Amino acid sequence: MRVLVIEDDAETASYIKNGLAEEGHCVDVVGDGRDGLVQATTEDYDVLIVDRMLPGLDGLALVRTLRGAGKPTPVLYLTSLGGVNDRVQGLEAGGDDYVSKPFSFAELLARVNALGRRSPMKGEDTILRVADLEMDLIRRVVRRGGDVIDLQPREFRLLEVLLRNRGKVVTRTMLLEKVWDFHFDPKTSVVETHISRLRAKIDKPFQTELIHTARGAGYSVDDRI
Amino acid sequence: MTTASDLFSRTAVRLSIIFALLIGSTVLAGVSIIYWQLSAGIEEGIKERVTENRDALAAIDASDGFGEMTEVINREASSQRPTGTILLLTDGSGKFVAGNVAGIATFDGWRLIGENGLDRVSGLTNPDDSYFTMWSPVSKGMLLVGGSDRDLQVVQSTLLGGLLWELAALVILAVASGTLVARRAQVQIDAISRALAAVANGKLARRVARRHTGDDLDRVAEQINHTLDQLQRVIKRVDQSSTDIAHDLKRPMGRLRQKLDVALRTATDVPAFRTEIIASLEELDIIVETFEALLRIAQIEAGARRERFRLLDLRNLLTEVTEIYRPVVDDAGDVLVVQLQGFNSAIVNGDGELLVQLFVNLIENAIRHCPAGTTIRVALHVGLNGPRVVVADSGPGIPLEEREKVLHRLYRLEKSRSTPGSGLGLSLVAAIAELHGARLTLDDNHPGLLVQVDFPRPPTVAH
Repeated sequence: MRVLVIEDDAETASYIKNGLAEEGHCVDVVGDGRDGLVQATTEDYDVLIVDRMLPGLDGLALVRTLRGAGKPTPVLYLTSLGGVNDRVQGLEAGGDDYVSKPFSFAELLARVNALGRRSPMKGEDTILRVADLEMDLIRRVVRRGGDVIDLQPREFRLLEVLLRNRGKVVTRTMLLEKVWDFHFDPKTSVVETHISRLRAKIDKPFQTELIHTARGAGYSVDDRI
Repeated sequence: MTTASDLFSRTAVRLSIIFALLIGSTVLAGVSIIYWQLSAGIEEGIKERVTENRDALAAIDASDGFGEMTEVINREASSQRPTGTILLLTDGSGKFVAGNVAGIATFDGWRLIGENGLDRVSGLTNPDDSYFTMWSPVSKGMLLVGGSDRDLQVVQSTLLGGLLWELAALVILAVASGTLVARRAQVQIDAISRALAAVANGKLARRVARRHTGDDLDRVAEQINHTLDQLQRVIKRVDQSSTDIAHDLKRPMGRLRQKLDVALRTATDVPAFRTEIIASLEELDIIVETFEALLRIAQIEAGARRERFRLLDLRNLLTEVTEIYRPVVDDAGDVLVVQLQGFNSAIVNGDGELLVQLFVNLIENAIRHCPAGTTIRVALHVGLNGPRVVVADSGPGIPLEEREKVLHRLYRLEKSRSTPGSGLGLSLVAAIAELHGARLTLDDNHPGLLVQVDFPRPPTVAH
């Protein structure tokens, strides 16, 4: 993927650039809001990583201008603001996701991957599949190898988020936000508990495991073993 | 010490002087009118007396003849008591015939002649006196009659002298009382500024010495003392929480340092380094988490979230939260009892995200701080005053004297020091409750802790 990092802190920028490059992404870095806007408008990127506080033009204004110009490139904000309002403001301005500093690289990578335009299953799909697992979003039915698996609504949502990001790591934080709408860090193993319940229904009765744990990062659904 | 110019710059003194000038000029104006009217009246009286004298002499002249009139005038002029009258009779050629003065040329109308301008022939003189005089024709010459202005002088000097004394007394009295008031106020103001200066210099316990007179300055002093009490409390709290923050961060920092130190000294291969680095990152995450929680509390307390309030049904919200947590409670070996029955709407005006966090924090606290087998009860009652949510456990509870403290930032019960956590969970709960105007109460569940959150009824929803 082509990623543009608009970040004025050179150390953070190179940390992101090197990390994403190691993962095979092609990364450009701009240290100024105005230059970043020009670059993001004139070139074609798959994901923009935008710092909220930038010299020249702040992150919110940058994204608003970009959206005003009709550019739909997915935007991931980086912020040290970390406040409860900042996320909402950022998303309202037209951003797509949000990571607060300091962040783990695994978290950033997972979110960049999830935002990428070449994500295999996006929006309009009504049936999500991996291996012999099939999720019908309209009928709300999950089958594995032909057997109907009875899932509770939240288990269904959890599996849906994992399936939409098939082959990619979804972090614990991403699951908390997307499945349970928790925008804080719970002190109990709520994610682990629900994953283990889901595994008991999806994987346990079958030969191959589809839900994998990416240690220190999160979970993924994949037919690779 | 107060100098004269200091004193003059004070409002009380300035006011008293202005007041004295105002009253003084009013009195002056009033007395001037009286003075002129009285003077005119007295002058009129003197002239009338002079005219009467002249008429009496003229009558003698007419009835008894010039000689008889001359006799009368001579008698009058030789009188040894002060008559206050001057007389001069001249013959047709203007030569002196009789009288107590001489050498005055004839003139028309009234003329005021001073004693010094008189050529005294006889009679007692008073050098300060002047005379209202007029010439009148008589049978064989001219007659001058004059009356003394002594009465006028007496009245005028009495009026003027009295007025001057009155004015002087008034000004002195006004200035003196103003100064007195200013000095009294100054003592109080000095006490206030000394106390404030002491507080500004760090002596936070200093207060203004009160006189308990109940006047306005005393009330100001009372208010200042009250404000200083509050300020001292706030500063103490800030001090306490900075100390707590420093203290709470020192421990994970220390552990982080140890891990890095161990890695540096003992790790020789990559896997050993990795283990220590992963452990170090976990410590760092705890530090970051503490900071984030502090920032979050500060932002919630700042109240900006209130703009995003919407009407929410607490019953739906609690159903969702308890459903999410039922498997977690099960896995912990605890029992979750959910009581959300009832038909009254549990609508509150609030921020769903924060309210979820509030209830999650309470449920997670119960899970984490209670031994396995604990019953955790989540209940909703809708009363007349608004919805009440209860989260209760059958665990060890919180001693009465610590219940207030656990709501403070970073406060942790001694026995919970060993379990991980920032000590910010309940203060976050308190901040969210306060943002929603809800009352948070910690109570005894016999055994265990009972947390009660009383929400206000949203004003737009009819009961």
